[in-house]
Amino acid sequence: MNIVTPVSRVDEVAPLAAAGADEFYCGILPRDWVGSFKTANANRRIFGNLESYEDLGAAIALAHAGAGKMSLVLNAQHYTAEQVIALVDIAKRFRDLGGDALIVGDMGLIMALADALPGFRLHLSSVASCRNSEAARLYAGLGVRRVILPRDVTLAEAAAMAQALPQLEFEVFILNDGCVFEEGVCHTIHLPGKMGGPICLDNYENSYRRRDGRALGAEEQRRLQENEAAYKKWLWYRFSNGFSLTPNGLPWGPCGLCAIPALAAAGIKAIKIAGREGATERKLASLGLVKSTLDRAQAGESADAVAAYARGLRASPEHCATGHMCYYPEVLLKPAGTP
Amino acid sequence: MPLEAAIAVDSYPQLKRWLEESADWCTLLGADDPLAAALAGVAAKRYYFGSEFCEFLLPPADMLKRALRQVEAAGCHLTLQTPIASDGVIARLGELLPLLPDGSELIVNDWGVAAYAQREFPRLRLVAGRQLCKMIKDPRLDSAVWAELYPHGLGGRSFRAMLDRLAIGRVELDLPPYAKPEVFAGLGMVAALHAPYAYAAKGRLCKIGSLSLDPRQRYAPGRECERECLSYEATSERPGRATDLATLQRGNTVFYRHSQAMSAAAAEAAAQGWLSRIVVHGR
Repeated sequence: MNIVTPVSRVDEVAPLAAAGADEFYCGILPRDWVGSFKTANANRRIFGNLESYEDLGAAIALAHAGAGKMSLVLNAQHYTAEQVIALVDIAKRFRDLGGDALIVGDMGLIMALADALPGFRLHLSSVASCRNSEAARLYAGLGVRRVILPRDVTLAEAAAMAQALPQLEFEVFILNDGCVFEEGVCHTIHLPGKMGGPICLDNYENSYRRRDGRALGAEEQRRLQENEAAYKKWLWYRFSNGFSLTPNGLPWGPCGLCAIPALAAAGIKAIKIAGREGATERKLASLGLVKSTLDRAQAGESADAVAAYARGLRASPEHCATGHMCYYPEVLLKPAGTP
Repeated sequence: MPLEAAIAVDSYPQLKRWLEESADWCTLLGADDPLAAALAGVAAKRYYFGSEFCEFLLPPADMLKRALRQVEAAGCHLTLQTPIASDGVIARLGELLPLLPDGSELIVNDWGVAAYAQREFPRLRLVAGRQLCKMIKDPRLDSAVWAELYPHGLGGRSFRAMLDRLAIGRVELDLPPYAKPEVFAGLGMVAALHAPYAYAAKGRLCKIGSLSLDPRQRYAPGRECERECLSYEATSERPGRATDLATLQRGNTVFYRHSQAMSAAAAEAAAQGWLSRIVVHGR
């Protein structure tokens, strides 16, 4: 399995390649994009983008020098017809610079790229919410060669899709940056902090009621309050244990390290480290976690041994045991020794 | 083309209720809602059943059969709503879709479901659901400038080409914050608008659906719930944020209620013929 790693600066490529990254992905926000469209939505992230085509060319060259591949994200949830035209131009420039693949989520853009750059490698972004073999087959017919599955798929679902479509590559999330809602069908904006930030982390207060108009009973209220409190704790885990690091400087979750043997057995081609906007140190630490775990799996250690190693990395078994840091909690919940 | 009205329900008891009662648009939308005025004298002849948002709210086959019988007996039509699907959900659709009469509307929120239905059930009329018709819909935006920065791309040629390829003839839309009537102009497609709530964000993980689960099983994908969303919903408020649209959490989805100004824009779009149907949410 390939490890896919984010970069946001040219000088990140070489150290990440040396640390074992097989593939990279980056974004670019061309200067004329903001001028033309008055917004920074060339891709899903406003920050964490390369600033120029010169940087993009340099990043591609460095990736290739380390025998890696470079993908470019053009993965906002939707674009206007005018933006699609501009994105096709960006895509052509990326191809001409030697880039390897485009990561795309918007159906209109995929259709346009299939026309304008036939045969160029397309990776379907997780933003496309592709959760079934029928959709994957449809995208394959448009030239998509790899499907990046959204965060909240189960291992069984990922395995079923990989088995049904051996001609396609599948990539899954392995570390960092949880969303609460499905990225592809969350139509909100990551607002500036003073306006509330991402909606899933905003300061909402929820007042429950029964839909049939009857008053909530005392036991119902207790259960709802308990669930609300448990959810807030889960949110803390979902967002890297309150956006913190372990005492030994490692990122928390969301994490799928335990699932690497199962993902490999399922035929998953690539595992993705999220966090383009993160610091270089975080990217390197994340890659270290993934690489060391993958190495053990590829060396033939048993799934249980790999899982035990992965759970020991952060030296915080109490957090792992909750299952709330997991992309694939079914691994944690399965009895040891079962396939 | 006269404006049509439909009622969307998410359970069989709701469906029975609305087939037995005549819909009062002023009660469902608000007495002063311009869309209620636009629908005055229009009777609901179509009922939306199933779920756009959750795989666990798809009806079992026997329930769908009963719903179809009830709707037909009332001289009305049933539109089946479907969610984003796993392979397992598509297998379940393989049991439900044969039950639909020829020409039935099927709302698809997943390109895979659309491709499957077009190939296996070409006798159905496919409709692109709200999750395929993407636009920015954040109930927290404090000015129209935000909405203007993120226009939708539904009128784009390449998006339309995919709809044509899958024989999708209609689209389902929401009313974005600060909408002007022109947001629905130039689509070149028959469009329905949902009211009085738009959806802002939808998850697969479900907070209320975790109410009865073991703590380690909560808030994870694919965990079957006890359909708590049919019993409970929550009003969500941010303290001190007076400009927010009224926000509601039901199941795995966040909704907001249209403002009067937004509804007026929708009514004007309907008057212009840019919207052909209003889908009113049954309570």
